[in-house]
Amino acid sequence: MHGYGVIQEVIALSDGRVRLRPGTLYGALDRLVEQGLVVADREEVVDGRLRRYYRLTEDGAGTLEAEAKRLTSNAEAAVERLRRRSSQVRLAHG
Amino acid sequence: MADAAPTGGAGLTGAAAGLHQERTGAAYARGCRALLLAYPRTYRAERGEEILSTLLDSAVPGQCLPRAADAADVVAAGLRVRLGTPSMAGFDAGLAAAAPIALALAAGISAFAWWRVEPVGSGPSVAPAFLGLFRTIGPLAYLAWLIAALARVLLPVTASRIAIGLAIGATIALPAVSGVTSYDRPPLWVVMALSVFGVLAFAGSPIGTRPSVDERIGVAVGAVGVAVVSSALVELWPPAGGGFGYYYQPTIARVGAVVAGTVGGVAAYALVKAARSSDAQAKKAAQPWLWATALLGLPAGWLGPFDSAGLRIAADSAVPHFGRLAQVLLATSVATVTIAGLARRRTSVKTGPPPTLVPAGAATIGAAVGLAWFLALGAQGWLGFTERAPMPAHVLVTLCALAVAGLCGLARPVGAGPVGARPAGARSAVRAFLVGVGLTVPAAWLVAAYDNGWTVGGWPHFAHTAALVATLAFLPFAVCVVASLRRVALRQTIGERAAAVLMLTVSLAWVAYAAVPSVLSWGPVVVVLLSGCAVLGITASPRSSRGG
Repeated sequence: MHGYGVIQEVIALSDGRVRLRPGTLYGALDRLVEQGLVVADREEVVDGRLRRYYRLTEDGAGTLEAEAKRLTSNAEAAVERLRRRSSQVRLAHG
Repeated sequence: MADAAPTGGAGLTGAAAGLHQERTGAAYARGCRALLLAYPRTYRAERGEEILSTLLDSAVPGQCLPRAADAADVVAAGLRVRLGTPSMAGFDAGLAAAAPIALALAAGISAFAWWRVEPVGSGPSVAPAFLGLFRTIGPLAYLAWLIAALARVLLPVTASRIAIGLAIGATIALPAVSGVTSYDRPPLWVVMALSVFGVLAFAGSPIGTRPSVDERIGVAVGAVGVAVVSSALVELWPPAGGGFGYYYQPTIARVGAVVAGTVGGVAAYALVKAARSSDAQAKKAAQPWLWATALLGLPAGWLGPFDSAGLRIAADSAVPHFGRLAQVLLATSVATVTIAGLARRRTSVKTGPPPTLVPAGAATIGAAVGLAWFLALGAQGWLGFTERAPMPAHVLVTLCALAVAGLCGLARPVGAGPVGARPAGARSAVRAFLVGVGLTVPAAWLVAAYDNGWTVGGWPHFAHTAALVATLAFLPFAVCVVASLRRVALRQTIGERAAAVLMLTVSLAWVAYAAVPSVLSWGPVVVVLLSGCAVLGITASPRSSRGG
């Protein structure tokens, strides 16, 4: 995915709540490349504009998976607490 | 967006619409290219076209200039790359940690000065009372700082950033306002310290962050604490002049002690965090607090305590005059060396040639030439001086020390390259030399004007002014210390190591010669210095973690 594609994807994933600015985006890409989590894959010129495509490395995929699992686990814990709370409320009113 | 060139021009004929589209598209591209100048040239060569394409793709039809938010973001990112902060381990988190503390300090200093120093009856006044109530126009800026702190406590980050920006503007405007009116202003060092605390508070609160309740309360409590403790300190430790009577030499000096105590507290927290565990992960957690210490240490070092009476060990004629300016320059040098030491710990291993002593050496020679030129002409009674006078001996010592340290950087050791090869970094040496001369000459003139009540001529006391001007040497020597420390750590030939060691020795020896006789006048710089040394000692110990 190229830089502008990332901006569009983030807008779509966040329902328009988050819009990455170009300076911030490339600062983040620099860090991810330095850490070996993403790598520049290929380049192409479209309408005279350079597009550099990035892809996740194996390390990046592993880190993302671990982070996704952590967030899923947090979300599951929150859902479980809410479920318990709902049943307690029902008992109290029933 | 496939067709990102701005279009627009609804209602125009086909040809006119095309022409309009072409013009707005070209204007938009020009604007984007101008923004990219914020990045260094090497980065632009690698990434410039790619970022430009993304900016062009992001354009909406009819847009002829980049959005203000995008422009600010690109410029900020470019400056960060220039400063090298993206690859400095812990810098961003350190700035974020320093921001609320810096704002609390700025607001606390303002509250104290307004409450205790500014009221007309609190001491002698040399100018008409501002609004009939205050000794200077300081309360204009102090009010802005109190509002900024309140905004940080109560409002979202965007609003508090605007308030901080306004407070910085109000503070920087004080000297100009004082210049065009008959009112007095707070001392320049207070203005400088408040401004830089403000810059830290602004830069460390990026849009999109949400301060915690603890942080908001901390700013309010911190500001009140600084004002109250400073006031109590003046009561408990009254200055020789008595009470709150003087604007800053004894009074703000007590604030300086409180501020230095705060920075010392942050340093202690960082060191405890770093010392708790020996593993690299735990040390990494301390890194932001080390950065916070170093960043806060810069403006904190500019405040007192400073008491000129009876503290000097050596006579003025033997060493450069260690007054308020020298104290500020020493504090700046110490903070700079600390920051440079932390900046060495990068998030990634940088490839490329190792740092050389050449730029530092050339800049130091440039500074020596600039100082020598200014002072030699001044000694002849030119450049605004009214009398011919001999050059003080300590000035000659300073110039010689600068020349030796600078030549160490330019010396080309045997075996450094093939015979007949072009000296490495010749272009950077010339550039650094010109920068050294170009910064030193106007700085020397400004110091001379400062020493003579901000007049542009008719300066009567060459020896006194020359002693002050010579203290500018703290800065090139600080550059030499940083460069030689970096170089000493590298694998190299004996000749290269000897040059680095000699540069370091000469630089530290001159700093000791100028500053040690006035050790009791260093003020909070002592705390900053000790913190800096401790910080560097801790962070330099695990060599294996470097670059990790």
